[in-house]
Amino acid sequence: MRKTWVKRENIYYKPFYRQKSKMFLLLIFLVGISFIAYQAFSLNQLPAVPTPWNLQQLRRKHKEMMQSLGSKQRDVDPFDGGGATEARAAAAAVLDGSSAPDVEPIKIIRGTRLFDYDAYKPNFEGKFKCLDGSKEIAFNRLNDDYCDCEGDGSDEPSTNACANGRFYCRYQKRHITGRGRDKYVASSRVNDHVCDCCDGSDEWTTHAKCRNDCA
Amino acid sequence: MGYALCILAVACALAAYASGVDPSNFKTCEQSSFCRRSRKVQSTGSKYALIPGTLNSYMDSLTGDLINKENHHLFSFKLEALAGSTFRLQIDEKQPLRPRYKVEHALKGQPEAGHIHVHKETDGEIIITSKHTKAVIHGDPFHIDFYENDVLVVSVNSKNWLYFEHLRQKPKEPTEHRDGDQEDQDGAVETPKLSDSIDDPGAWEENFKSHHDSKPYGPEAVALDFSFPAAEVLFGIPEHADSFVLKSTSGTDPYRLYNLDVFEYVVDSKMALYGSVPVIYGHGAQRTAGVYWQNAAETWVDIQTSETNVVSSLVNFVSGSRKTPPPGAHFISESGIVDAFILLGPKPLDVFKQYAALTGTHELPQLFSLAYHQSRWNYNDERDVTAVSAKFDEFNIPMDTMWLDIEYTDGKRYFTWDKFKFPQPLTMIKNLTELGRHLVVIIDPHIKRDNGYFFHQDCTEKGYYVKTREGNDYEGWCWPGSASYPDFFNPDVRQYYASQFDTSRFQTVTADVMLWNDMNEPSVFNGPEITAPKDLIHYGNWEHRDVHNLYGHMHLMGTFAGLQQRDPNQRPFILTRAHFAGSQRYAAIWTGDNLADWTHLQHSIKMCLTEAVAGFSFCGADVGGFFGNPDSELLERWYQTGAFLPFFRAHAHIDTKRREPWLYPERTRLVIQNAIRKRYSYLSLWYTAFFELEQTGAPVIRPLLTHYPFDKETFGIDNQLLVQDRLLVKPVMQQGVSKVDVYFPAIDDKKNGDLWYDVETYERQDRVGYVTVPVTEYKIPVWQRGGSILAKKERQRRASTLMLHDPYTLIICLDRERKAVGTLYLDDEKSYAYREGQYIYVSYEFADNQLTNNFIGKPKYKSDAWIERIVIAGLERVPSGAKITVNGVQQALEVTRQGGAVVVRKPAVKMDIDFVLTLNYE
Repeated sequence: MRKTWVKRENIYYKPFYRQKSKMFLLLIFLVGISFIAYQAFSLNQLPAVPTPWNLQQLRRKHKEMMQSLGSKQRDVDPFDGGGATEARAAAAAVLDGSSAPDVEPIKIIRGTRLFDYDAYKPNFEGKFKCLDGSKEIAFNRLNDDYCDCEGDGSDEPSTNACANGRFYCRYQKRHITGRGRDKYVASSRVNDHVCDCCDGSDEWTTHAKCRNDCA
Repeated sequence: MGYALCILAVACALAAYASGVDPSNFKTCEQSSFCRRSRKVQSTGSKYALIPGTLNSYMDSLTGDLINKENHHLFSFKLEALAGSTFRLQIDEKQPLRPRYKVEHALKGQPEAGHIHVHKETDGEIIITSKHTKAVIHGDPFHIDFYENDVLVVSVNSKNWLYFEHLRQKPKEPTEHRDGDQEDQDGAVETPKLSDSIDDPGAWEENFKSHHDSKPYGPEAVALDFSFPAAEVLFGIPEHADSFVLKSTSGTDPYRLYNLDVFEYVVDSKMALYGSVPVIYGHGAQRTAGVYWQNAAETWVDIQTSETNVVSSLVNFVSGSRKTPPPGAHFISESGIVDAFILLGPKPLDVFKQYAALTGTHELPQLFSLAYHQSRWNYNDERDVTAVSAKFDEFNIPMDTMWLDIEYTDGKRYFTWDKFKFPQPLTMIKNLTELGRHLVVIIDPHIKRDNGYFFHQDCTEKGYYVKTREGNDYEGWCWPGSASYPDFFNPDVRQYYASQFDTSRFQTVTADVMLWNDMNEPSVFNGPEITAPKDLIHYGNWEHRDVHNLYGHMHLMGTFAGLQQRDPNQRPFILTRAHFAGSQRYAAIWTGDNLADWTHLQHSIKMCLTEAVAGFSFCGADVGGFFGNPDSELLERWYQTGAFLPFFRAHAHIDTKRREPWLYPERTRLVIQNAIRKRYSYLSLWYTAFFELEQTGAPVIRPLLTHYPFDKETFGIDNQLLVQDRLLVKPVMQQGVSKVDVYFPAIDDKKNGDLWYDVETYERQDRVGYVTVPVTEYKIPVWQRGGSILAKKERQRRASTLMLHDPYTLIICLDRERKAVGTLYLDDEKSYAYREGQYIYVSYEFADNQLTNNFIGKPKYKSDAWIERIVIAGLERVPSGAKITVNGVQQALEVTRQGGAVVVRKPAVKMDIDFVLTLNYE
């Protein structure tokens, strides 16, 4: 078969706007841009928080709550991040309110873990939300020796009121990188006259004489 | 030699293991001479008559002489009225050749006497009354009718089956021509001497298999028949692996009462088992009555009931009246005297209480003994015990008591420890008690014949063993090999044995270690019917024949005294296998060596219901079955059933696979955990029920007919039970079912019933009759009766002792009038301080939307416990709130809806404080 040659000027170049695939890509790009723009716009349209954010105020409120709880049933623990065995004495001192205020450690509710620190603050409506999100209860029902969060027992971290709750021991043994499992006992072991946590922190109303076996 | 015997024993055991019990190891009535002789009377009848002019009446009793009109032998009888609609009838020989055995130690004390009035006294008929009851004594033929409010409820000797073999001299020369004699007897007029002879070949000696019974005193059987004209069904006379309602024995062997160690017993059988409680009840819609036949010798009980078949019911229907004779029982005992207590009711609970007034009740047990027990033959060593206890904690399954079977001992020498497996028993015990747990160890009555064993030395030196006829120490074969048996009938032996429990002597246990008495029938592997020969001699020169069924009872008395002396302020806990009437005062029982089988699971309830009405409320069965390996479904269902029987212990044979809950799939473990937790949540109900048992004698678990006596359908129901009158339990006891039929009983004959609330969902049942209920693997079908209040503890601990101060939850289920009442009892759960009033016993009452409490007695016990929440089921509407008034101070409480009930949140009132709680509907 003979080869036929075509002259260069007779070749037809399709213009850009007539190429379907390219136009399609362009369309997607534009839709994407407009979506992002819309998102940015609608974010501005979100309702404003009911009260102006005031970190100071919130912290004060939390502190008051903690103090009221602490005076009521001593269920606030200074958290030392694990490792320190002499924390008990310090804790007692803090609770007595006699130690110097300038070296105030982070206080967390007895039986909770640092990971949940924020969850045990009153939310904007001054309520506590169960950690499994099932229920919202008044903040003064936290640790009131009655189980309200029946799902996970999270409203009674310091007491034995909930059947399926957990009590995180004060002493948490951690690797320097922070790795390691949480040390906890079932709520039913709290104040049952048997020392379960290696530091005995689960017996805080009974007079069980617990040895410190953490080391 | 020893090894050869061992191997032989193992081989025999394996052979038997394949086939279950070998019935030929145990006597039938036909093989037992006295049963044969006494039963023969059923066809001929006997002729006993009052002798005119011998009657004497006293304040509380009537005495007189009886004569056997055939041989002119004289008997004296005494009819005594006791407090509480009870009569006691005793018949003994007037001048026996040697004294006949009268049962001791079975009654809890001298029964309280009543008063009688003799109304009519002729030679033919004497009528005596005592309060609402009346006894009419007929002189010839001698029989007595007992009336309760003018309704004939028990008739004694109405069939003339009284049979009393008087003691006699052995005939000089053995009669070799028996057949000839018999013909002579049947023939012409006999001299009294001849007609008096007993021509049974077993009268003066008896052989069974390779065992010889010398019978030096010859025939001495006693037998008497009782009819229950107002009754439709008979029940009682444990222990048998049979239905609750007794079956007719016409054409079969009678029910047998003879404490025996039956290897792999079979169900639906009238064979004797480990315990004997000769009390029988006759129940009809209007009247319930009972008879306690106090005799510790081997006893057979023939039952006559109108077998309801199609023909007879059709005949009854046509004729419109009961043609069949009333149900009756014929008690046949090998020796002793006639000593029968007639309990006249009139209601089931009255009869049970009348029996309890005679023989006593279990005293309030320590709370831990009502919780879950973990046992196995055997936990091998200290590490095993500690590891199992730790595993229960790891999987969060509550457990209170670990048990050690025979292998903990040094070569089955009781009061010693195996020094290799258990080098530090005190440390092991401390590890358990620190967790609030207890240890129970076994101590059996067989004593190893080993000259280096102190107990054996002492018993030999002091002559404390049961003797043979020749006066030597009896030697049998049991777990330790050659063994002897202390004679617990001797008070010195009991005292010696009891003193061994003192922690200064038994130094390797603490006062918290409790006891298990097994093999105390007594079990003798090489004895006749696996027990002791009948011609052994006991303290007081009584034959073993006379006292056999009491041997275990006397063993218990020793153990109980030992534990009380060891620690006078701690309530002893003992588990026993052999038992007699009255043993309930000392120990709990279990149904012995059952089988991992669904039928045995079903019989655990039947047997414990029978035991409960015969005084033994504290009864349970080996959860999972002793022999064999249960599959996971059977084990789950068994735990669920066991959780609602008073004694809750898992136990297994040494040859079975380990079966702690975590060795099964996760689902099984969770189902078991759930069942055990349910048990723990109801512990305060069980505890209250046992307190009320001690106070009133009302059984803790009850058959339905106890509270629904008019409903004839309930009579035969023995796969459901009531816990007091508050819970109705119908455990799932069939394989692979997704629904069960539950019978809800009627309170009257118009088909009205109580309301029943499912204890999990508070769903209400108001129907009467069978209701089909769906079940899941987790479901234990339990209902609380409308009109009842009970207290639970819903906080779970690893052991019940740690729950002492935990708060209560009140569960109020309302009846149709929206009312309810219920009691709660609490104390220190351990000591005898409650006898000095250190307790809180409170009755709660709910009416008109108001809950109040009334203390019964002064609440002296100081408890930290409080009321955590109150659940009310059966309200018309959900209240908007509640208010509680304590000492005039009011406080508002939140009320929320939960399932079919409402929950009052945190009344937070201490248990010993008066309060009024009112629901609001604004």
